[in-house]
Amino acid sequence: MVAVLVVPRPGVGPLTPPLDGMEALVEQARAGDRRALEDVLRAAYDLAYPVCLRVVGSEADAADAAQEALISVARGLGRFDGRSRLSTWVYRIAVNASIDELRRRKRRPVLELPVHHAALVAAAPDHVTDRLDLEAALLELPLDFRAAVVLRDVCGLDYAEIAAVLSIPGGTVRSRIARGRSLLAGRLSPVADDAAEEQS
Amino acid sequence: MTHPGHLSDEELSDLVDGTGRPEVADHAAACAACSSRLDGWRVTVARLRLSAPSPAPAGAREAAVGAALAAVPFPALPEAGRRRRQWAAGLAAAAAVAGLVVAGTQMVGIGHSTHPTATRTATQAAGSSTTDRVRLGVLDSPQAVGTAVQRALSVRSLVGGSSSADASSVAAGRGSGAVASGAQATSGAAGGVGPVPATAAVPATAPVLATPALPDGCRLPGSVVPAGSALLLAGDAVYRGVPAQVYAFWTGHQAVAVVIRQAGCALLAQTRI
Repeated sequence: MVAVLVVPRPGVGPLTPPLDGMEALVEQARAGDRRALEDVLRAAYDLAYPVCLRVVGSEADAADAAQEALISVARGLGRFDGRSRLSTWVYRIAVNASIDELRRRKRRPVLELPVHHAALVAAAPDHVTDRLDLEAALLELPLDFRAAVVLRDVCGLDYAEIAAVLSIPGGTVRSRIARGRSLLAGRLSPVADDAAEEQS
Repeated sequence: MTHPGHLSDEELSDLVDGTGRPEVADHAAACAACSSRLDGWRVTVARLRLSAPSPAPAGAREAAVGAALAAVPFPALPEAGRRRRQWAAGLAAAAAVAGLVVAGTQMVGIGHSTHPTATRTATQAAGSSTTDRVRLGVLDSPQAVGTAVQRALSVRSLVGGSSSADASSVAAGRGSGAVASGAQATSGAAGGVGPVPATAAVPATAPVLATPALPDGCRLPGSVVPAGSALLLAGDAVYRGVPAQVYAFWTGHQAVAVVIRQAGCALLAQTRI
């Protein structure tokens, strides 16, 4: 068995929800404090944008989705009942905004210069190539699987939280994550998967 | 207890999460095929967890915060109290300045642009028709802004800005609430307009702003619209119920649209088009 050494780097890894330590600020925002609302919205953006980016796959679309998410947060903050964590609520909004953005993107003509993944990879240093491969593989996942994997492996949510964010049963979360990881591994580590196929 | 057959996706996934049952872990340790798959999964998940997402585009967060604040009735929101600005005069001046700058270099440079249509003569820039303001109607999202701007640009590029008929008939009927209702168009052209081209060219008449400064002291952050970007279109809209200005630029890499509150300089939205 090959040992897998995972050394966390500072500032990298599952996201720490900053909103969950901001209850007082949220209350101030709900009471009409504009500056508090701005701070809450900035924290919510920092939480929502990475999710949107991983789900929709492009910075511009992620920025649009995150903006839509932030508007929903601002509109809904007064109705947030606190039954779930604020970060869970924001994640749910971000995922929904990303899904909406993907639907809109299908209908929207795009004005941009063509950029080919292969050309990008050829010109990029190794660590960037690694990230591009990862992002490309992630985008090939069916949306249901992608959202679950992003929430688990990028955001670091536990299965119960993911179930709450996606409004699906825990068993479905487990199977979606498992299937998504399987597809990802097959694309990113084909050698290991091929070896497994042969031996089975 | 030994595990029959090979491990399922769910069982492998549980092992990756550290929640696998002991007999499943035993099987993974003893079975070369499952061990190999598990290693691949662990590497994949580790890569996901350690891969930092790209940071948000500069200025995107503040634009989103501004849009969110504008979208909600909020008692503490200050009233800027500034009257609608006379953009056309300012833009004409900007175009003239750009024309002078360009005349000195013989070329309209847009930074490091490699887009073939992003190079124009000074005469073309100074005589721009992009200072004609376009009414973009009621817009409720960055996507709607992008769609409306793209349609307005398409109308302009198709008809060359030479006639006086309204373009609303072109923009209407395409299933969007965003209606470009002031662009110059001919009715004949309108009748022949098909779907919006996916790669609409940058108009050859776009003036270049030496700095992303706008009238009344409003200044677009360079991170949003870099200095030297070409102005493609200026328009008016009601964005989420707020009277707003809409500008589209070619930055050298991409076309972007920004929405600015008429009262004050708040950036309400930005989007790629």
